Amino acid sequence: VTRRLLPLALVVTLAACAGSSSGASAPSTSGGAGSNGIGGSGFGPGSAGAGNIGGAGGTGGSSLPPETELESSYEVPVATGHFIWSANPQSGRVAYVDAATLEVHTVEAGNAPTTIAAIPGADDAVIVLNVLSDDATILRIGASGLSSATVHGVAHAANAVAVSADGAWAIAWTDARRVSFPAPTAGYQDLTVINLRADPQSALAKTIVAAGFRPVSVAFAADGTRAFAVTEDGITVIALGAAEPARVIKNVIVTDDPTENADTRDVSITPNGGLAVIRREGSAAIDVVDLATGARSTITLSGAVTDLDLSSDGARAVAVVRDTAEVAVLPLAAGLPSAGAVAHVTIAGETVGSVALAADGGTALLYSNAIALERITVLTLGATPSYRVVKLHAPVLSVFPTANGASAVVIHADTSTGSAATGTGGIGSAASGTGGIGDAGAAVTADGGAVPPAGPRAGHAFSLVPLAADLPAKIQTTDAPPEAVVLSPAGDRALITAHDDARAVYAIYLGLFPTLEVQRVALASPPIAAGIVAAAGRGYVAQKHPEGRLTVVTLASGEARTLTGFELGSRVVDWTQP
Amino acid sequence: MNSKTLVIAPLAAAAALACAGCGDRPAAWSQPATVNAAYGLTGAVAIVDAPADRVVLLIPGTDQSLRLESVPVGRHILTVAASPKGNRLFVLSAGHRAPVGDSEADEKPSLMVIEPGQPVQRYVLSSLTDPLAGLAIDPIEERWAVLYADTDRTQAFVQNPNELVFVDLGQPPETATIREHTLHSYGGRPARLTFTPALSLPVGSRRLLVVESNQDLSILDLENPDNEISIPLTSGTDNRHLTPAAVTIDDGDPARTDDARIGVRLQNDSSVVTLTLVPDASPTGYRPTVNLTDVGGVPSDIAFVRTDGGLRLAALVPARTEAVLVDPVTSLTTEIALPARYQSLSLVTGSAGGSAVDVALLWNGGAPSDGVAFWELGRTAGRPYRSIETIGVVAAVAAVLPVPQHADLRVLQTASTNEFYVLDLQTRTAAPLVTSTSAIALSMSPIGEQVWTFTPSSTLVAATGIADTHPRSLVIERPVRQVFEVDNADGRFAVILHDAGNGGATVYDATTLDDGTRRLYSSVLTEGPYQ
Repeated sequence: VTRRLLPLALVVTLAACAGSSSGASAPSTSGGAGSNGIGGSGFGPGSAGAGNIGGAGGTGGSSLPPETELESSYEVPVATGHFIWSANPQSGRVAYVDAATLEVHTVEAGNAPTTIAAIPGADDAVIVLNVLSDDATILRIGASGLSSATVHGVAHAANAVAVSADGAWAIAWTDARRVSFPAPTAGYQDLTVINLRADPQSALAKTIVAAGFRPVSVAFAADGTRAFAVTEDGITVIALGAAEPARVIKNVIVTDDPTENADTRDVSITPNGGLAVIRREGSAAIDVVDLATGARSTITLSGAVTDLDLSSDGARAVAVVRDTAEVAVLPLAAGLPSAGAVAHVTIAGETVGSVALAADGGTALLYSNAIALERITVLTLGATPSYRVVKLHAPVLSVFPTANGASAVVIHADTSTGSAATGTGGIGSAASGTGGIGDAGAAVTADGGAVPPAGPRAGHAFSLVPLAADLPAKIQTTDAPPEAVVLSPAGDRALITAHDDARAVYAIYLGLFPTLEVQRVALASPPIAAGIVAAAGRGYVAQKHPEGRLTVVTLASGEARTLTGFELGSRVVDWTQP
Repeated sequence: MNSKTLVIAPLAAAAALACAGCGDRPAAWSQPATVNAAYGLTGAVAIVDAPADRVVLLIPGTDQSLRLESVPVGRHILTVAASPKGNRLFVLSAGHRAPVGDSEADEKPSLMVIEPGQPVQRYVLSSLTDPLAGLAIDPIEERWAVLYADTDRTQAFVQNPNELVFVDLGQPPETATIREHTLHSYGGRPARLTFTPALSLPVGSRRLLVVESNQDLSILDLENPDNEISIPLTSGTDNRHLTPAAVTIDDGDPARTDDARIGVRLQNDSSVVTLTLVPDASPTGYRPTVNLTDVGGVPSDIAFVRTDGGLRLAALVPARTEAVLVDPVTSLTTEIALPARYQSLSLVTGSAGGSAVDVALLWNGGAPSDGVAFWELGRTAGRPYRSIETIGVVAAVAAVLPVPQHADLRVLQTASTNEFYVLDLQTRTAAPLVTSTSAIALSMSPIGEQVWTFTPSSTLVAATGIADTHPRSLVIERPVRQVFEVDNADGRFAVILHDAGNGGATVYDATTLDDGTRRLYSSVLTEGPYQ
């Protein structure tokens, strides 16, 4: 299922604390043990009307629209070490595809398996939420084959599941943002804590606990002793233990203002579960909260903090202030940072409103999609941070650095109408059907007079950008707007899906680093999820099709194979079999 | 199932009623002596005389003589089919079950195999009280006959539409194995049967029977029909019924046992289905992996073809005026624009300069000017846009007839027009032949010397030499039903059948076409069994 985030709705970044099925979570670039699958990163402006210009803090007054968070609009597809897993709510089956042989099998799950998440560990394993039977199916492929176990009594309406990095715990919860028209009094506070190492029929296999109002994210401490639910009431801390049921032990308050709009909070939790870093839209202050003690430190920057990203190891956070082009690097390894420990860098002459950190934490890519800016800034986070500006040839929409920080994929914005810098509704208003395939950055025909959408949208181009050396980027025109980016763990391959329903144009672009070669593979139907199975050296794109469709791309050669009909395949019957 | 199959159940039923009401006199005396159907066999022409429960063989000989052989067959003929090679005639009969007071003996249902010059073989279907009326003959080895329930006719009070009866014609009737097998059904019933050639499968070389129903497929091992695999074409999660329209078979690399494939086109979907038969630990030894590929429109014809890029499943998509090549391994597709909305393709490899790669003939474009086109499949990987070459046939082609013993020639039958063509695949020329009337019928000489042209129910008959395209007309006194050329030890003869006069025939020397030596025979049916 493809989802797009509301612009600057409560955006939560969990810095790789756990694998998660939530599209709101950052891709699990650190990966759990044994989990080699990598999810796709989508982008898109979402729906209009967030109305956060000026923000809730005290530093409003900017004439520019807010930065648009674009990293994770796809539901993260599920790949484990050797298999790609795909749930079909209609049939009640889960298909699993051997990424090496492309052999497809199916297995029965519960009623309407919808949400699926990888369980890190030695085996290929996933947990599947069955939304109509209110249970979860744990599927595990080990040396003895496939095993299936059901955990009954999952809290009703659960639509997201988070799994701890050690593969011991899963929490099924309800993300209210995925619920259509939730009742004002619907708090979705039930979290089902599942002990994945317990007998599924035992009393300790599952516990339902109550978190704060409307959780937006769930994460785990690296040592597996705590879980955290970010809610409108604060951060609910849950104690986990094999010998006794999970229980809520505290709620960490993250604001002194009881009327604060929780939707404007951007909360990140460090992987060790020690700290929460909080950014508020329109505010110059960054709060860092010690989740053990509740102590809070406030770092105030030169203006409204427009974006904040946490390194995958949780050692530092990088915040950007667009109005002043300030970048602040907050050290977190030693606990609550003092104001004096924060490094400040001003990117002179540039507009930087968003930041994307490479997984290794050594490189931050700074950009803005609030204006038609054809540049990104590469900030090297050494003892003395330094930066350089990379020129591109089309406005930037979003940036995806490889894990090693050596390269990046930049998706370019649609420039079909008006100026992206006007702040009056963002970039582009071209209807999809009127956009032709043009040169890079060329404007497509606008549907004159149409009401422009609120945010920027993808144009018809992306760039492969070398970061390790000062080499020119390569821009690639696409025949449909790029939609999702997946990067291989080694950073040598990128899969970019493109999608244009109106013209029925769907494709995958395979980008090769460091050669910057691009190969295109046409798809027969709209892509809905993408990922990489690193152990098999393959990427995949799941597509809309009633019988199930998956295109698998061999990353080394670019050879693509499409499998369609694994739902049908599951119904083939050999009558000689008992 | 077979275009040469004749269904005679209504006549049989009429005969049965007549029998019940006319005392001891054979019912045939009360029936008009008419030709129910006629088939050109090797060395003879066979006329089905259903009311008399017999087949009459017309065997021309020296000086255009005509010898008649009456071959009694089982009572109440249900279905007649000629073998694809034209040497045998298969007659399925219901037999007779005598009610109380009926002096006629009981007779079991039977399948008769009639081959001129050979003893008649009669396979008694003793386990059946009400035989299935459908009959499919193995076109490759002529080893298997499969009886199935004809959806248009119900023979019995209760009928199992998914029952198949396998008759091994490779065994003599006395010891032949006759096996009944009921297909596992998801609600469908058989609509079409396809015999595969021998396929290299993990369990060895096997011939399979592919049964298409209105919503699924079944694959059976002809040697052991209990080895059955069912392939539903709907997911079961909605009420869509995808209906197969045709299948095509490819064995892949003969040295491999994991690449035999079955391609399926659908009546009501733009996808083609590829089934790859891969090794499996089951007793069957293989299992089909299902893959669907969208070709952009409902395909009108499909075929596995060998291209310069490897094996592909070719699909014609008239709605898009294009052909689509599907890589059965990767599912990648290549679209090739066509000059017309061709609906049919025939492989003419080897005849048109193809060797390791195929050449296809595209036809049945629908419009008069569409004609035919050659599709060079050796250019599909490198220069697909140059792979189509049209031939200036300014008529819509309705059928492409092979010319026996002339692999490089085809006769193009046009749709409702007064012309036909002799197509030379080597030179890619098409010689037009114009007729004075439309609605012509064509039949081929068994040795490919000439093509016979006639207008049914008229007296217009002509023979056109294939080599020189020189037409010669014949003098015919009575309206023509069918024209056959018979080649036997006494020479080559044209046997022109007439309906009038209780079945008549004009016999010509097919070599000389000399009007002066032709002979006209009347009442060939009334002379038959009662002489």
